[in-house]
Amino acid sequence: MNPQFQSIGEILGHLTADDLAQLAAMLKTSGTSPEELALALLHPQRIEAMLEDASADLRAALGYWIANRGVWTHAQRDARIAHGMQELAAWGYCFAVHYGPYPSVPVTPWELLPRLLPKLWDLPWERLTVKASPRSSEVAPLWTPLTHDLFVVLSYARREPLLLTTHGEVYQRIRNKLEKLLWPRPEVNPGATLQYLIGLLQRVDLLWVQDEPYSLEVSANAEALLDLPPWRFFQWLGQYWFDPLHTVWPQLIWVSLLSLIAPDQALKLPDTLQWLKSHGWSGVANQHSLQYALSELAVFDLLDLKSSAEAMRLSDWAYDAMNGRFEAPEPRQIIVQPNGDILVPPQVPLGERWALDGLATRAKSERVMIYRLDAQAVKYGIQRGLTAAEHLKALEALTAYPIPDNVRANLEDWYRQYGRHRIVEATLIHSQSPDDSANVERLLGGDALGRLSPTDIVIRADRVKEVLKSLEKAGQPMLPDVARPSEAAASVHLRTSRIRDEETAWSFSLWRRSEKPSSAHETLKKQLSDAIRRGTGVRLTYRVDNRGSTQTETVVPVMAETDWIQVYLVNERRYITLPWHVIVACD
Amino acid sequence: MPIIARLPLIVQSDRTLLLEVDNPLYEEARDALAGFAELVKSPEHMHTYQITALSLWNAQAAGLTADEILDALTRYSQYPVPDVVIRFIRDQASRYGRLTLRLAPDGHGLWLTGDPSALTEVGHTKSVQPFLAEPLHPGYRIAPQHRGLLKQALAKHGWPVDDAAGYDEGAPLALTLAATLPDGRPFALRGYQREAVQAFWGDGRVNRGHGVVVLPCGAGKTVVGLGVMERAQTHTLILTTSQAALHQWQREILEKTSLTAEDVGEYSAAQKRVRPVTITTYQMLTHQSHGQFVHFDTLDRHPWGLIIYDEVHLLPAPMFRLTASLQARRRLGLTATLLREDGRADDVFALIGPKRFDMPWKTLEAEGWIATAQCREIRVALPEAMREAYAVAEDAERIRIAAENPAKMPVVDTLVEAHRDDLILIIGQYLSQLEALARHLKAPLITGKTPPKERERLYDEFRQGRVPVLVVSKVGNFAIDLPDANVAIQVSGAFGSRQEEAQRLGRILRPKSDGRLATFYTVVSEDTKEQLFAQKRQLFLCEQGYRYDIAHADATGAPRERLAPVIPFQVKSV
Repeated sequence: MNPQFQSIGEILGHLTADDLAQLAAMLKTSGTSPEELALALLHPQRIEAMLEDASADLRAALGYWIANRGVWTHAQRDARIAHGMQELAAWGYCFAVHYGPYPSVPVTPWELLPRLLPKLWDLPWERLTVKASPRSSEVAPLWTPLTHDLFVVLSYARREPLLLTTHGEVYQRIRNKLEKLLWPRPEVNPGATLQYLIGLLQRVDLLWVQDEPYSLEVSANAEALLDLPPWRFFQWLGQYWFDPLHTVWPQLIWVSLLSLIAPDQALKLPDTLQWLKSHGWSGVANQHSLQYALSELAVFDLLDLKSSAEAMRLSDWAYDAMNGRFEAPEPRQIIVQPNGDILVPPQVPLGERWALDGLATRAKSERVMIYRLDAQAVKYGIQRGLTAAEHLKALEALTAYPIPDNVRANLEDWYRQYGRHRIVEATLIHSQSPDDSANVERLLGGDALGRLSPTDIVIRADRVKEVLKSLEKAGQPMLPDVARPSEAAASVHLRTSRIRDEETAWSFSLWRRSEKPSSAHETLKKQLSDAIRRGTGVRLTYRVDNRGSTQTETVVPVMAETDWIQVYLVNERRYITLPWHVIVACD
Repeated sequence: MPIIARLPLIVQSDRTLLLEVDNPLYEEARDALAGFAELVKSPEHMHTYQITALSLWNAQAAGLTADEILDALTRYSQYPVPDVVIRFIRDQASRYGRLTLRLAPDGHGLWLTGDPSALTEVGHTKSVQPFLAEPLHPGYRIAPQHRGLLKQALAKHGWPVDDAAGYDEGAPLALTLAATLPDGRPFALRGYQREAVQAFWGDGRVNRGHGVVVLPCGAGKTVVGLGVMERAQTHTLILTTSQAALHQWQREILEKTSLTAEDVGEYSAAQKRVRPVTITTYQMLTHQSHGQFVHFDTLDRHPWGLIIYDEVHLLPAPMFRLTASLQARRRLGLTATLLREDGRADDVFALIGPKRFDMPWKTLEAEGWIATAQCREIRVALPEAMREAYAVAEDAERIRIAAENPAKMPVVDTLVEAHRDDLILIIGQYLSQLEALARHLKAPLITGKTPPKERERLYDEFRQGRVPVLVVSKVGNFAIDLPDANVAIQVSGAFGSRQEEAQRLGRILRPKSDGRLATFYTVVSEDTKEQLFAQKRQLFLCEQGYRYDIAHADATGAPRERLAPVIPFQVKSV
């Protein structure tokens, strides 16, 4: 995902408690929950007040941000824009994303854009819109064709990872099975839908690539992401759909315009494209980009496909979602029937659905999904390490009514039947001779759990390091790797991608006013300007994060401006831009 | 926990309708759906309906339009009706009325006529062509004996036929329902029985007068048949499954109508009396001699105006051919379960007629028309020695080993002892098992070989309470009237037959004179195919809202601790 393009939920959900408190004080809210703060920030009155008060710099900055489709690319190079960003930050709309050792980048939540457009643009609605049929809903339902499709792909993948060919494509036979599970939409090709869905799931951190076997499997983040409230989940998906790095075409601008028209209106496609073109969006009419963008919006059910090609509008749910109206999830509505069927009504939260999906077998994918509590579900439960009591308890936490006794009894019987025997993988220390093995057993003491044969001792798999240390100390060193006789050669397993690596995860903070350069900085400025003129390299020490850590690198200064300097990092062979105030020393 | 206020209906794209029972609008929605959708399952909390081509055609025959149907769906549906469902309803509606079956203008046979494009399509349909005689513009002549088969073939191909060819009215027969029974008790049709009769009869025109009434066992389907006879006022042929059922009908007709013994004839192996009301069995009708259905031919010559098919779900396969030729008469099918494990349930609809009336079992139970019943499954361990035999036996033999598990005997003992003040039926599949039980319990045994007189005597003793325990083979599955039997113990059954399970429960569902509960026990061998079959058998009753309590017993019949320890594993969970 693009760190510079974020949703308000994602930003607020990761601010520190201090920053949240500061923001709450700024917004004068009673609490510091992300939902409350988001509501306050996106309130039309606040935006109105900001724009009334806005200086020319702020307006310029907002225009810049919109023109860049919701990101602040190189914004700080322009002093005026930088100043405008400071003002925006003072209103609470500008935040900083910190990503590992790299300088922080400014970010403004994408949800602000559709709220700014009608204030900053003089939109000729009479010319751009046409009457359409009234809409049939008032809130975005929880369970839509899109959420259904995302869910069933994840549900499939959690039991059977999606095997990949050497070209990184999901195998055709698996795709055929998945296509059959998708919500039937005659207007859209299921193969194309699946392709887009898999791409989306990977980009939004719900599917990860594994090496052995080469496959896509459900990420460990899935539970947390599916547990998000509907507004945050939609915004999370928006970070993918509207990311300017993802699509050349101005997706967010287009969808924002569609969300602004009246519910019973549609946007005239040719006229609107023409208008946008005349206002500087020269690429909008590029047929290839347009087709790609609209196809994607159609595949993800964001467009109302019953409207004509010439007059376009958002689907009912997308329209309500963009306007912040979501169906309230109703927990504990799942019904377990005496015949073992489990009915999941559409208003059940995604998180509960996901929990149920791990406890029962999916039987029918529909508006009301039907699961079955059967032997297959029990086998999966046993594989996950559940007992019958735990399985039932987890299920009871989701259901509207008590579980029928016969269903309960059947579950317990299946657990008894299938749980009686297991093939167990054990960790052994194999010695060359019985004497050696006896010696090792003596040295290990309590770590030796038992003996499988005269030359094999059983140890716990999670005590391998300690065992190696003990034996090393006692003069009986061993190779650290675990030999697998069934494999031809030892292999090293690496995860090819894990987006949420804890060491390099993004963090967010409020955007702080940059310090003015001090007189010490003036000296540094002169030194570096001289280096630019000479074309020589220097050793530069600078602060790398908001915790005060510094880094010293050999750099070649390239360009100096009032507030920043651009340098070339020799070791890393790349350019970076540094505000003057982070520079500590220059040799 | 009540469902928060919302509309009660959800329409799925496969035309399944889910209706929330606990919703304030449930009854209103239920009444609306009954006009065009079939109730498929009615467990607690959520009932399932299905919209089919047949249900839509019947709705249109009753005067409902596609717009009215869609309006009802939209009115009660929490979410927009899927487009695919809307298209299906409109498509089926557009087919109705485009083909009509009438009497041929020249009086010879029948005439399939209607919309030219529809006629062209059916004329090119291979499965329909055998029933089309020569062209008769616009349409085709149809031989009368092909009436039912033609309609069946057209229905399979997605074309409803409006059968306007009329009925043979049959010879008239005056009959009224009695106001009092021979024992002085008043008699009248119950509310739902009147509704069933009305749903079948309509206003007497050709768009009604054929179909199936589905009511739980013990709800008085025979009385519904009598109600229809009163409306029809015509000679009636009643087809039953057995002699016992035949005599039961005789008794009911003589007790509850104005007809006398002279008016009612038994046509069986014992006697062959054809009277204005004649009762026979399916076996008699399908009996062949030198390739001829001799009894059918005899009976077919009589001017019947109404034919009643008792336990129509058991319609034997040869009857399908014969029934097709009985299409010119009003036809009433009666059953508790429209389930056929051979998948020919749709043929019943096509040949007899659509389902005209049904009522959930639990509704009748709540209103007191059938006994409140509780169902219990007892899983009995298979003794070690038999476990080994079970493991190595062939499939058919394994089923028998499981069914005849000797450890069931002590369980039955315990149950009989616990219900010593009740009237108990013990029902099973395997004669050797039943004989052993009968000997052990010193109870009489009724099988197919028991002479009818002896059966009647034993049933009578049981009704009187002189014989509190009766062991019966599958002859006891249906059509025996033992109103005060309130405990049934099923010791073995036919594979996974849901219908048999329901019929056996039905033996104890007559409301008890002292208001006692009915209890249905099924004893199965644990960890065997019998247990798997039991789960399938219970499906229908679970879908009707019955719950099974499950208990476990050891080889002595005593309750046993259910859970054995399961090896715990620490694995990652997603």
